[in-house]
Amino acid sequence: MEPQQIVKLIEYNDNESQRALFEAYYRRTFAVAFNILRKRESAEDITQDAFIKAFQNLHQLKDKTKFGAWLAVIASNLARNHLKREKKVIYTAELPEVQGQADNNDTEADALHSLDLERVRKAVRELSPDHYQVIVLQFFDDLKIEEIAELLKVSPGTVKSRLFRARQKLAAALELE
Amino acid sequence: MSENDKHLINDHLIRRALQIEIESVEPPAADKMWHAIETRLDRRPAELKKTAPVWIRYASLAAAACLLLLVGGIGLFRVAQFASPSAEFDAAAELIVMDEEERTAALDSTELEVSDEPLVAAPGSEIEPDAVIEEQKKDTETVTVAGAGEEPAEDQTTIAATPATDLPDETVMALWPETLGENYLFSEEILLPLVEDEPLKVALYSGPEHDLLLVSYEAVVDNMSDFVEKIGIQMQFPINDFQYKDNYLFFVAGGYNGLVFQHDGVTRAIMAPLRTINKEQLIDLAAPLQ
Repeated sequence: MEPQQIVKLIEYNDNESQRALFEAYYRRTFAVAFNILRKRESAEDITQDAFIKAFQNLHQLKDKTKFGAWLAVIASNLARNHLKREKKVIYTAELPEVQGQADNNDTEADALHSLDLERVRKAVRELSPDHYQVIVLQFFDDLKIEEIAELLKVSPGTVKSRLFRARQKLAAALELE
Repeated sequence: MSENDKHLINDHLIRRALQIEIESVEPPAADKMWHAIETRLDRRPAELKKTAPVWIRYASLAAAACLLLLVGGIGLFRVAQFASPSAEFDAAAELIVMDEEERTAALDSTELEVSDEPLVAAPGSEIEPDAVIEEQKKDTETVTVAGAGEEPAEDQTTIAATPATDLPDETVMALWPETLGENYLFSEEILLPLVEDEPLKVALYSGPEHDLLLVSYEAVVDNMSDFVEKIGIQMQFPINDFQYKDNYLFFVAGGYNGLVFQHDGVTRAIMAPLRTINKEQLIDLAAPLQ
């Protein structure tokens, strides 16, 4: 969705606009919640909660083009709180099927790349919610440190620290660092 | 392979891995989920009309005043002050906020106006719901506290309770989640001035039958037991039934069940009227704040 269109929908914030925003972002929001909770039912509840919180507080979103990232932060915060409240164990059995594996026609380089990819995916799943949050915002939403800090209401130093630790854990999976 | 190469490969892998992780999740049916959201959005205003009786609000504020006085009297126990000790919690809380209409509706639904009226509580006495409001004293910013073994200068302890309504929304809401549990909705933040110290922040949460108080003290204490005992001695306040459970310290004060806990450099207390919420329920309310 184009940024200008997002801004218009947010400014309208009527039922039709909300539905359009939901359609555009619910897959990704659900995925963020699911990747933290690993329970579909809980992730559905958190996704609903996140959209409701977002629609009711749209006036607080300063940069409206960042709606998707903002929504992801709401969802991941709710998911993190849900985990703490429920003291739930992450159910690895519900992990999605692995994709992107090398097939027989892949070159050795491709195969190594796929192997690395799987290692990083596995490491991503094992990140804490705080670390997962900053990784998503930087690498999926392409936000800058300052933008992430503003969304999370923490200092840029805190964001850098979390990113550093998250990257350390991911890199360790590849034994790069 | 240079360090830079490793860095680039790592970034690329992270980006790709995240993309696959997110795209590989099969979402639930959009129509069903949207219908649930739409229904809840429509239902929301009606839920906000539930408020506690006024006398309970008075009692809640009186209890808050006592607790805040107690906390203010233990400056010796204050071991650290951070520029932004609750930053991480703030981030979560900031995102769970009421919108302006909801807050207005919540405020309109109560007759209590704490903004202009000081709270009065007799040290060592039970807090009576109807004995907490006295004549307006806008200039009162002092707290008179009888120390242990001293005679109180007056038979009353007076503090000024000031709503933080002049603060920007984001500033106010940053400390407080929109809800505590499922039934208690943020109503308002109150700043209670303390002697030679920053005002202590208290939030009033409205429930269907009674209110809750959430206190946020932006410092840690060495020992929560000493913390609470010091409170009781210094304030001649009938605090009893201390009990530790996990990381919580429970107590009973002035007719309220209380729970104290610390997280991320912040000491928080939740208080609820006796016989309405048990310890397990208090823990459930505290858990999301950690």
